[in-house]
Amino acid sequence: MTLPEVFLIMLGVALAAGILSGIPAMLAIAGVPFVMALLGSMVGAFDLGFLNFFPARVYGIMSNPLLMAVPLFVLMGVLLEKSRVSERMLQVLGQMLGGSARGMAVSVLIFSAIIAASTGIVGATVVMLVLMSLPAMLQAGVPKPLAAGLICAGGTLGQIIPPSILLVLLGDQIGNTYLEAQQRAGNFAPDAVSVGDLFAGALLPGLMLVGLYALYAFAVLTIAGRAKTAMARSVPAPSRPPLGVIMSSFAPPLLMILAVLGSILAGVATTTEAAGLGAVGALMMAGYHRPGRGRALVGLGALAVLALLVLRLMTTGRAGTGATWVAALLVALLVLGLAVSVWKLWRADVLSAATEDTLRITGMVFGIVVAASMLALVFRGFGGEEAAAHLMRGLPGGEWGALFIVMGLVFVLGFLLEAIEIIYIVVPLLGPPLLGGDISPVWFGVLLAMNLQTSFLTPPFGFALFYFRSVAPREITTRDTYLGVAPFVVLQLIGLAIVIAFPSLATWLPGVLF
Amino acid sequence: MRGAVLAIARWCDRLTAWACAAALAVLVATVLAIVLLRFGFDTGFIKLQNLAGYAFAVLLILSVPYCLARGGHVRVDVLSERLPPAYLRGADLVALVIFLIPVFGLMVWAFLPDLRFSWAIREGSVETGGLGGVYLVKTMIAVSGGLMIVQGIAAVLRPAGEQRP
Repeated sequence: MTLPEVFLIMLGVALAAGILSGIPAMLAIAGVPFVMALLGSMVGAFDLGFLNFFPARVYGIMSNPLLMAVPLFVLMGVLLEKSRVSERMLQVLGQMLGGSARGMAVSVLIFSAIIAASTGIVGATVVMLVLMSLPAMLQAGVPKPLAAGLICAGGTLGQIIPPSILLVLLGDQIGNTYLEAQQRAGNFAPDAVSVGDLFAGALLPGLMLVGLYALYAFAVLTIAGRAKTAMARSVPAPSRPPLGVIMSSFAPPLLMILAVLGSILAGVATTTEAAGLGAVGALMMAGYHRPGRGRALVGLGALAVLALLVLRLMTTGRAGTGATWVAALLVALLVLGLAVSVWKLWRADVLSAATEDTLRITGMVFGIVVAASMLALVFRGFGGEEAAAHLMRGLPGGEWGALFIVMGLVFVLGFLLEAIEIIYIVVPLLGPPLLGGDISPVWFGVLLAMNLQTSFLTPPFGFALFYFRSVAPREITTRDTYLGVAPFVVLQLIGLAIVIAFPSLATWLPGVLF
Repeated sequence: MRGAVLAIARWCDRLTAWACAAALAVLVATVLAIVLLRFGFDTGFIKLQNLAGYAFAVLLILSVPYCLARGGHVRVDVLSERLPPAYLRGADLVALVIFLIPVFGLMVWAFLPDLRFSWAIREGSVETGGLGGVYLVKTMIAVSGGLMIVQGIAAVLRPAGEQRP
């Protein structure tokens, strides 16, 4: 074993200790490698000149156009949360399917899937689900562990169902790593991997997970239901809400998701552009739901956004003069609606609260990204890339062996670290040997995303559990929560196995679309 | 002394918050403008693309000290939540001295030669017909490094239990 390899192992151990010490993780991720580099340079195992590249790398992150979508998606999610659009949806859903335990469980799942597509913020979704649906589920006779598991697992769906911030970050990392690895392997014209590819690839596996959750919940409730049918009967069947209420609470968010996701998948907008549209759409939706004057203007503005999208789809390639006038009118309506909306939200203090949250979350994400660039630099300085490639070549089973090792490592890391940290540590460090081969990068990315989604569910540091614990009533113990989540972790692994066995689940849709 | 540092940190944070909020607003508005121009009128301007990029760059790098000032960076507290609060304050002090100040000091110090050059040529966008002012965006890296150190020191000096800004 060479001296740099000894330092690489020490780096790994010290990094784990640093992160577990309870200091902000970004400080450990940047600081531990820095100190190791200094120590290494004292014995001649590290060339300190490497560290001079750190600011240039930070500037590289700042000028990465892919990452621009992240704050915009965060803003969109935060606005939807603050505007209570999602709360209304859940209420209506509960009324539609409520009453029976199975109906409640299914409605919570449907809602989770929709909200996952629109916000994708784990904490917000879990807290909202606990406050809004937990009492109703328990009352309808859903056992405590199942209710806890459904809420925690449902809250993490936003990580895998596109558009998702996690997939944007994964797309950035996998895209870069894949390009470099392929070129090093002698393929100088590899097909680039885009965030759009990952979005398309994750769609079917994400929906499949929802299906798995539903099957499980159904099975458990059917077995439990046979034991005590009498109890479920005692809840009166609710009256169905009128169609108008259903439409007004569901149509806007669903249309917005379709517009954002559709414009990316149809290739008419980049991820950043779609995220910008989503943020503007969320601004208008929030403005519309605020009581007060000017709702009609906001509504018109929102319709103008959709009309513009349709216009774009119809007139691409042939610019008619008439279309320009229509477009000008639509833009005017949109700007007016947006202005009214922003004014209303400003007056109600929603705008400043949403901005604060957005900035804080953005800082949290990019703090880790910036810190990880220091880690990657030092890893490279110690010759870590060659060491990792060498290590993986020595594994039994070739590419498959390496894939299983990486997946296993990510799963284990998921117990301790957060998804973003794992992406920026594992993909650039261990990805190159894998992505240099014939493995489909989209498939690999989707597998990683599903695996990372699980990290939000695994105790002790699963974010979903964390948020659940902070708002759930005392009568649901930590034991209930862990017991309830365990089957969902297993479901997650089953889902992972299915996608490993049938890679076309992930690769078929991107192949058709792009 | 402690009061003075905390007051400076508070002022720095207020400025950071305004700069971040402005950058976010510019980012949203510019991206919207780009989309509208392209969808409605089939045109676009490189300068507008550049502006969105600059706004994002400033937002990204300044949001990190913004988050630090609010104690918003993720901590893994599986172990530390079982230890007395004094432990965490000690750990934070150590992290400040051996991690935060050196790393972000390096981010400023190692960048100065580049920055000096960037200012000397008044560096602009690499695209022809692009927007000038890249040297101002790059300056934010050094500013952010300085802000991180200020907010890090303030967080350690701040008495336990006192409200963060």
